[in-house]
Amino acid sequence: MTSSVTKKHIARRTFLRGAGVAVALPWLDAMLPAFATKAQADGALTPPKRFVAINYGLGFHGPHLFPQQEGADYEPTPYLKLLAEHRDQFSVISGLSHPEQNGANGHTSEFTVLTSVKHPGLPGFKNGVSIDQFLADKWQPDTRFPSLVLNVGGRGDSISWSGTGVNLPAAGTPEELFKMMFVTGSPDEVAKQTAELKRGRSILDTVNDRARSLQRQLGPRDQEKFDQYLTSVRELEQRLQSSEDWAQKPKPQVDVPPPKNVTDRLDFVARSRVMHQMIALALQSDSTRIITLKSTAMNDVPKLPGVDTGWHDLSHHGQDDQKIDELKLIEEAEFREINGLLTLLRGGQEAGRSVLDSTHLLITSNLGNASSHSWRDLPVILAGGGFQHGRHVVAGGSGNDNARFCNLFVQIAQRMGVEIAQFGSSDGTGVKGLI
Amino acid sequence: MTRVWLLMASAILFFDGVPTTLAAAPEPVSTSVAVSAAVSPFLKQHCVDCHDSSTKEGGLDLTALGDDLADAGWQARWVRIHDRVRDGEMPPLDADQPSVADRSAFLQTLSTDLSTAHTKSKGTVLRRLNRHEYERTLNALLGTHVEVADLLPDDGRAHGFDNIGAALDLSPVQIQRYIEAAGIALDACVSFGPRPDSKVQSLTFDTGRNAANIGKSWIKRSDGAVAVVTMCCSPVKVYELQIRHTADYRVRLHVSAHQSEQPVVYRAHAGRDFFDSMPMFGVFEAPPGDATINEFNVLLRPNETIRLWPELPQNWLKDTDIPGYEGPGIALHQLEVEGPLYTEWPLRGHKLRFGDLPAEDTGPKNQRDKPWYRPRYQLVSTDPASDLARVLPPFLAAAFRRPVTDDIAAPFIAVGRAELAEGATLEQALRTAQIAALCSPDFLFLLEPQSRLDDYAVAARLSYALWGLPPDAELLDLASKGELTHADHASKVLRQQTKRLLADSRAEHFVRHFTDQWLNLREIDFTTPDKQLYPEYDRLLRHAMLEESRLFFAEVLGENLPVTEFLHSDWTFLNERLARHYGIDGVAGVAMRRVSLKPEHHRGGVLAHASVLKVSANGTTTSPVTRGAYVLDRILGIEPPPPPPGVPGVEPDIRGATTLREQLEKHRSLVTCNSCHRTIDPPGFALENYDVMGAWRENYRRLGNDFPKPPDNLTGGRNVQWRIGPPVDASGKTPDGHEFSNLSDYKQTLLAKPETFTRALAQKLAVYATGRGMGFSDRAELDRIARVSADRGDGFRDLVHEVVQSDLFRTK
Repeated sequence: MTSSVTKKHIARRTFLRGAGVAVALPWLDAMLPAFATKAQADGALTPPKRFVAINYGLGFHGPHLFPQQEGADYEPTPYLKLLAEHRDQFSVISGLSHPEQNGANGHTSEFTVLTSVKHPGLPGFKNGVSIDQFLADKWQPDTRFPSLVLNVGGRGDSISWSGTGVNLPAAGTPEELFKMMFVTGSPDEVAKQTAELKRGRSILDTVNDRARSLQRQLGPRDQEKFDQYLTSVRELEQRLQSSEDWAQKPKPQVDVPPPKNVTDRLDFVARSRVMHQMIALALQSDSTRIITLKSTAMNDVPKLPGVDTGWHDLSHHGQDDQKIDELKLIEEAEFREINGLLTLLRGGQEAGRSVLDSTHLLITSNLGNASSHSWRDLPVILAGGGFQHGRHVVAGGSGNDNARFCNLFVQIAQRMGVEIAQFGSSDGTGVKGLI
Repeated sequence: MTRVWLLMASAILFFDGVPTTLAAAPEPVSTSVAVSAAVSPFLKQHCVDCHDSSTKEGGLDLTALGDDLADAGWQARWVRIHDRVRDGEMPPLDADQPSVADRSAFLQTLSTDLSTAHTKSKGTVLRRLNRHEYERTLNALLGTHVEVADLLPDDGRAHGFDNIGAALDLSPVQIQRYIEAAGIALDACVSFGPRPDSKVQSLTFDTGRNAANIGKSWIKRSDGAVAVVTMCCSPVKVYELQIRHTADYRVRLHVSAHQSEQPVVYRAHAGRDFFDSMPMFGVFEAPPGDATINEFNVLLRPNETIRLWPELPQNWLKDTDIPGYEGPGIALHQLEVEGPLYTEWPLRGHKLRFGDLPAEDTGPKNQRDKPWYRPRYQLVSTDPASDLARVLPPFLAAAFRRPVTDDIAAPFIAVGRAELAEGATLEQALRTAQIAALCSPDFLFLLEPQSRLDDYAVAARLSYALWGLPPDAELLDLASKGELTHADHASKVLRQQTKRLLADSRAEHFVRHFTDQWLNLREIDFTTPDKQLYPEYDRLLRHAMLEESRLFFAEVLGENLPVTEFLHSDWTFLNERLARHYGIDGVAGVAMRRVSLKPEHHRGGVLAHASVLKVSANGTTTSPVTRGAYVLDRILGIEPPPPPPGVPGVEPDIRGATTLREQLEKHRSLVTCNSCHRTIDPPGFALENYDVMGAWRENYRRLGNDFPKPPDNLTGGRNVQWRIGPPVDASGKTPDGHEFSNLSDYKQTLLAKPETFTRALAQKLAVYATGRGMGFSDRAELDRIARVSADRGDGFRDLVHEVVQSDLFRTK
């Protein structure tokens, strides 16, 4: 560490404070070799690009979300009022959807919210890669976790799908995530973990041997499924190898207390909040640069004063004012947590900018109107990423005239430096009016 | 090849139902089969006028229809064209009709193409165990009770079932979790040392943490029992229970009804979590008078306990109200818990893992008499490498459900020996090799050869279908002798084995899993009935409605009753709670029992089961379209066409006097929509007399003051918020012109053509038993099964036999 540039920034290197969170700056660590030239160091001081997508399976009541007016002078709606302090940091985008999402039932469009494959769940449907996994694969960021796939309940399914169209299970609870990212075990534990990873690899070698000899006996139609097995074994082997390497590297330090899991699954507010904290920590510590979160959608009565009806049933309000009012209480609570996430990401500073500046935060739902299971006119809020925010962007007409949601995915990918011209059902490379 | 999207004929569907579990995967695509050019003249002459690129009647543009039948999506569309022409629905009646010869030539050509295409792509796709089968298989193999299903990602479903090979995917995370789960199960079966003693723990409810409730929400009675009269403050939990082993325990609860001439019903839960997620294992009654003993067996794991939840009228008494309270309660006298009750020791997994290898305690000898001493057992071996090679093959054979050759065993022995060479203990080396075995394709997949199944594949199909378990010793023995595929007597042996498996208590798996998936009962909690509209919905009702359907199924199966009993029966299973829900008098107590039905009860057959009516509705409204699609799929065997793009769903409006039915009429009056809805909606209309929780109704319930208050006989005297809304119209007309005015009439139209239902049920059984969807080329075999079944009197158990005997079951 002799470079003067490095020294100049050494104070920043130790801890960054913001919104009560202090995190070392590992991307600087990782990217700044000792004896770095000035140019290298300058390059390294550009914070990494990131992508975060959050899906709310039961959507939001449109009239409470979308402003009447287009552009910067929109009158804030009840939900957007809750994000007022960050108004210049996000755009609300209307008129987007994926085409032909009518599927096996009213909720199957959640499978495809990040993939756009048509007719989810119907004969002939095979899901494709989701934009987050596509980015992770193209980009291969050198982080401890290539991506973090989260479910607000900890374990469970996710909105992320692999290149072979298989759903990726969620990574874990906040306590588990925190441990994975920040808790370095004792030397004994690290040694034990390394031995366990090694043993895992010899187990995989063994089953691979067995599988190869078995493969020869299978008919052509079984081969395809068996390839999934072999690919999974091979990828897991690589992952265990990479984990073994990462296990030798110290984990970033944070000076926040470890989170507590929220065991009451009805307490969706507390659950979202702690998961949002994990997202902020994961980004700031550069544990990963790509995150998806499947947020709460439940049948039960959520824990919230004033609400005593099942959430799913409220979403099928049938235009009953009382139900819409009750639903509003829930959705406002969600928006307060979204606001909290924006605050956390803006509070994290790196190289003179907020973490949000380099993060493309996409907040959306697979349903535009849950009461009729409509998958058109999706709610879309895009924050961060250096766009000219603060506006209501009308990307397309309503209903059948919606513009393609995937065009936004392409625009984000390009912003992140992943040069693609097309993704999923895109028919353009950007959203009209979003710059 | 033309490649423009073909839209199915229009339909307005707003399915409610399936939560966002993973989607069905498609049947894999094999070599392409093109639709014969010979169909073109017919299409040009009779169809393309309306179904061209500009008119696209019903969303169908024939000029842009893909003709590669290997594509599952296009194949489905061509099947639909075939069926609509076959059924005379197309061309429409007001158009020029093709000659009989032209129509049949067209159908003949198309059906040959479809059969060829489907035959090429059919066959069960290499099927892995789903996570429930995986857990059951591990536990059956090792004699354990580990809960590892939740470690694994959700399984994909297809055709309504969760055991379909094509939909069961694998990912690196899944393999990683298999490694983890296998370790947990292998560790759990280790049972060195003597069998743990069974002890009786005798407890009362006035000690420890519960003592604080006495004098507040609980009352100490003069006879020493504790009376609980409200559930508002403290759950009845046994804090002092000490459970150290995972095993069955016998529970004896001494209870009586408090201040009540009627029995008091209570639910019993066991587990480790807080109340709401603690699984319920039974509903019992505390009778009036002296203490009675309720005895039951329950599986408990370390640190788990039991909770009791009496069903009391007063759930919200204040502490100060309690002393003078004269209403009913439950008196808890004493609780005895006896166990652990091990049926085998060491567990079979222990013997399987370690063979006959002796073990010795290697802990410090001078501490063994200390109360805190825990033995440290180690396997004793003078030649670990050869012991490992000796012990492992029987383990592999048991895990792989078939004999194991040296070749197969070699890599597993090699990994164990490599561990030994690095200094691991024999137990550790065996563990690594055994985890590898449990992550091997031989364990995870049901390996089936192409075309005809071999003996072991037949054994596994049968056993997983009926028991959800790997084949037992008898099946494996028969398989080893080739009896299950024997040219002369395989049919007879299969029949005997099917009979044997069905007669065993483990066939409970078939009853439960098939019923739950066929009727979609696993989604009973997908929505919760609106509390204002349906305040009477409660847990006891939920429990009883599921029990009704499962017991009904088991009865039809066990007694070999005609399958038409599923359509209509003059009996069902009820307890007091469910009978009250149905408005049937004379059924007292919590026990479910067979009850005779009269026409005025409006019940009989599965369509009038509260469970079916609940899962086919959402928590607020019923939709004839959703319910119609449900009946089409599950009773008539027709997969409803998907709703077309570009048509918004109807938005229910529960405020006003307009019913959903009236809203739908607008759409049904459009020819395009009506082409599908004339088939989909009628069964839904017939079910309109049943609300979202399956109660009988003659008027819809509404909120708001525009409607009259209900009389006491409809509310049971409760103060309710709902009002009497518009009257129900349950009439309709089937596509073939039969008019009906209610479900009872509608059922007659079903009973008039019983073969339709028999075939639909055979199809569901075949999908479930083979792990694949049935397609065009399976139609002939399903028709045959339905015909044979009808000839034999339509007994349901006979139908199950017929499916097992069929080519569908015995070929891949």
